Amino acid sequence: MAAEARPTLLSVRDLRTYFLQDEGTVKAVDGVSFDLYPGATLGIVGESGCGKSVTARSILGIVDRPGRVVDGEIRFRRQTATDGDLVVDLAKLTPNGPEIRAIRGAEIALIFQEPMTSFSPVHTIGSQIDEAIMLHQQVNRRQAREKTIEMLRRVGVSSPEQRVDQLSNQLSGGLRQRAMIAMALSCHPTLLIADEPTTALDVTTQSQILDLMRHLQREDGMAIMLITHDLGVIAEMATDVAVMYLGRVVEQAPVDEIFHAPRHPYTQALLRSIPRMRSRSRERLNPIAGAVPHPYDRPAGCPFHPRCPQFMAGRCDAEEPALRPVGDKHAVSCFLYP
Amino acid sequence: MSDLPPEVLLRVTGLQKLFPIRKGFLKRTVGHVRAVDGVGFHIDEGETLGLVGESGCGKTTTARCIVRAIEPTGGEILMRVTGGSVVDVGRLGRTELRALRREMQMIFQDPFSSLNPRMTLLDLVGEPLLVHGVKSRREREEQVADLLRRVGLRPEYMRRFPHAFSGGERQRIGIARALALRPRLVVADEPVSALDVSVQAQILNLLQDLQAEFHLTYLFVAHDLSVVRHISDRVAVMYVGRMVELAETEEIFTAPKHPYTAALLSAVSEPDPRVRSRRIILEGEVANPASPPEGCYFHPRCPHATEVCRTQTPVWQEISPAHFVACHRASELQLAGVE
Amino acid sequence: MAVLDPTSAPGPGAGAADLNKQRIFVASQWQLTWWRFRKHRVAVASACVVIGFYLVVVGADFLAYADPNASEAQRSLMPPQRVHWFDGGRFGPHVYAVKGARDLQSFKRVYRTDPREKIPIRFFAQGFEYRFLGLIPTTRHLIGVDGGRDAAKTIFLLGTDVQGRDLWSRLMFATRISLTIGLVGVTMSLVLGVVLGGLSGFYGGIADTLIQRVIEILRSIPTIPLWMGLAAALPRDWSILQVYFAITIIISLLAWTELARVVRGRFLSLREEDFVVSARLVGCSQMRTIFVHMVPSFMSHIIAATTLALPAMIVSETALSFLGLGLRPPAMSWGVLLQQAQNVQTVAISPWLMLPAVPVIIVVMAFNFLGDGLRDAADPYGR
Repeated sequence: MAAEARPTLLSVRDLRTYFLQDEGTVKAVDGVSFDLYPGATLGIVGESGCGKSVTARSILGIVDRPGRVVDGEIRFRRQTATDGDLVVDLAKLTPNGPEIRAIRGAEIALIFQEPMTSFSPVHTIGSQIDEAIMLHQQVNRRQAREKTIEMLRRVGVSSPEQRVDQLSNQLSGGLRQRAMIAMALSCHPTLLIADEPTTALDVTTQSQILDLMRHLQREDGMAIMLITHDLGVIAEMATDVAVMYLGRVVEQAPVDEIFHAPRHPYTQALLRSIPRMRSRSRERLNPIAGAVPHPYDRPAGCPFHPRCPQFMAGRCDAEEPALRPVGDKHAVSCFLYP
Repeated sequence: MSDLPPEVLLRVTGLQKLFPIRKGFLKRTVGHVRAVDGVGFHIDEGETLGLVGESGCGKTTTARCIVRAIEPTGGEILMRVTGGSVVDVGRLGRTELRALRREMQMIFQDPFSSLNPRMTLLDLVGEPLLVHGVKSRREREEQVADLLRRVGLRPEYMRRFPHAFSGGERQRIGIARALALRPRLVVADEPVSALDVSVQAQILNLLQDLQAEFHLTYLFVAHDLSVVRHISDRVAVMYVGRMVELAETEEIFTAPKHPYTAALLSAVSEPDPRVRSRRIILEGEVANPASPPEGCYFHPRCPHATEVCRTQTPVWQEISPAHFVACHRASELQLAGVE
Repeated sequence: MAVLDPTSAPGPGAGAADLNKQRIFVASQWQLTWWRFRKHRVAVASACVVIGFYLVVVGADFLAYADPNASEAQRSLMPPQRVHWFDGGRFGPHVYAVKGARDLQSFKRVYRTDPREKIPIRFFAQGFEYRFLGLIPTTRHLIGVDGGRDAAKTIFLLGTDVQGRDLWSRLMFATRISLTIGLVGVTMSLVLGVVLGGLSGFYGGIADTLIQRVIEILRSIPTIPLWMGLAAALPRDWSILQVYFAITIIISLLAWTELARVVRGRFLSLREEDFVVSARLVGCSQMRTIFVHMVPSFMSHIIAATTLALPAMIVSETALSFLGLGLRPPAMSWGVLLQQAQNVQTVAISPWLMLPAVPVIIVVMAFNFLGDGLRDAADPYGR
């Protein structure tokens, strides 16, 4: 990757997260590297089993057991009030220790796909957001409540003074997602990780939420790591894109290049196979042959080779290709580009 | 019993499904959820009608009423069966309903819960045959092998159980099961929504191929507009239990006449960063089917709502040949579609 | 578990792994459940314990060495004898003879062991007559001593009760009764619960409302007073067997409600499952839908629920008999044996009379672990 003039906010190098189970080890994330710059939006796209959600959880140290980060670096630039920036390796912090907990919520926030299950069903949303604020800022409950109401107003929740006392199941899907965004942004993080934030929403609500996220990003200058399988959402929101397959990044590039000059056979095949709004009706699609292999059944060599239209026997099934630059800010992991 | 024009396979008129809301110790009915509230359309033989809408619009309920997985509360569902006669699906008795099962089948959304995990593929795909009189095991095996081949699975897999297969393969099994009786109408309830993106294309191609091979007619329920555009001949849009627009695919996508359709089309993100569509952002929330607004259900969110929209229910009218809309202002509005 | 799509190009590295996969693909749900169950070590161990207990049920006569009804005042309230395993360096289990005498001051029987007289324990020794498995008359028992009839030359592994009857032998026979009452009762509740719960869940409507209200009424009745009332209503002159069955019926009349609710819940949720809807849509009759599609789906849950209902039955019977409302002497069950341990005097002076509580605890725990293991193995989404 070409050197960047401005400093990265988050730099992941060779991250590996494995799930050690009786039946075998699932290498959910197997050597993932990418950079994220302040104020930018990195889209991480892939299908089921590619490890994108596990990557997000690994960054925050909340991978479910029996998963563990076994290798790699997650260098995050913290903001400190005192002397400049401080870069910490999140992978090396004590799990659930004070430092990672200080970062979670305050500097790195996470929003989930299913807003219903992210809120406690027995507490009001107001009290939960208050709690998040009071955990990281030195304010009392009354001040926290003011901030909560202000935050809810910012995310477009109407009559926030009444909504703070409602339970999460009294809100619609769109409102719940807005409330979750409010909770995530309540402490003004520098990085927001959004894991499939609109997948469970209707398309009209989805456009509202994406609009809101863009708006807030512009106002706060925060970086977003957007994880999704929806290429349309990626095209709309991301500045850079990393395409993942079976735990590895197969291609990383600015968004325009990913869509208009993809290099990796998987990216190309994926773009060819999706039906589009502007396509002609009743045309035959170009599917990718086969299906995503089961994690216990990882193919040797390049994980995509059994389905690759440009498979080279003897090479692709023997070694794993490394992520190499093929242009300015564009990297591919494929033997077609030595 | 009214008659159907020869090219029409299914005609639905005034379909209603109301779910009672019961409260209190004695479970008195205090109101109704108007899941489907007066829906009417027809499907020609051999065509694919796409049915779209967001959550709560009633599209799945409509689909299930048509196959009588749910009992409709009111309305007429006329279908032409093999032999030429026309039956009202909603009024059939038990025996006649069983005979009707040969005429229409359903493909389900979730490939993981729609196949009985305790049955082999032979049992699953062969059950429709068994239940409708094919007693000989060998004959069933032959037919099942043939069906499996046609959906792209190897016949020797018939000894296996569903858990051995991926989502896409399971959906193929479900399709084979639905086709075992050679139905005329297949109702597909979001058949690709639960599949990986790269597998969706396989299944969509398969559905198109099978339609040609078996002379099928599809009612394709979906929420993904790009999928619907791809596979449908005509598209119907529903909102809170009512149909708001129905037209041929090209026309509805390029020149919609209902503000909701236009908003829906503009909300879809196109996988191309160079395309910046002008978003129509709708205010407010989807109306509650248990207590919908007065007049046009959409008026609280409609950017073009006027006084008449707030008080009077719009009429379902044919605004141009084969293009139906339920909107007071349909003839005067100029709405943008996709190119 | 997903696998490579058959339409894809064959991948390398196939071979031995494929055979394993083949087994899994054609494995039915029962086989998968069994494999999952095997991995749960505690459950498997509990299953062995339960099987062990039921072997005792079958071979109670064989395992006992003294006639459980032979009472002898001279041996009343003897404490358990210590078994010495080695006799002068060699393996030779034996006990010391015990001489009893009445203490003239407290009028209690006092026992002194005589270390000079060693009574060797024999395996497969002769003892009282019985019919093995109810068919073969024999006098062989697992252990025994020579001259077993002589009061001074007997063995009492767990001591004796007030009437001088050997506790170990009585315990063996009590196990038989306690564990089989559980089975009969559970079978009855199973039938009632599945039928009534099934009707309730499948048909809904009036049947459902009626059955549910009956269940609620039954469950709201406090159990011990109800049992007391019903047991008191039993004629005093009934034979042991009649009392046995009456007790069973009484207990299962209440126990079926739990199972019925579980079954009803499963039916209600299954009715909406896609594969059940699919069965109706291809034209399956109601009977076929119920028996081919719905019932097998929750059989495993039923088995698990039944396995958890058994210990409740056992504890119920033990409690009833302990209170004197269930089985009565000369019948033997754990509850009846424990009846003798009701007073403080017993606890203070002859605590070994409380030993029958130990198998109750062990069996209940074993059934619970086993039931948990079965339920986890049957649930495909659990981890």
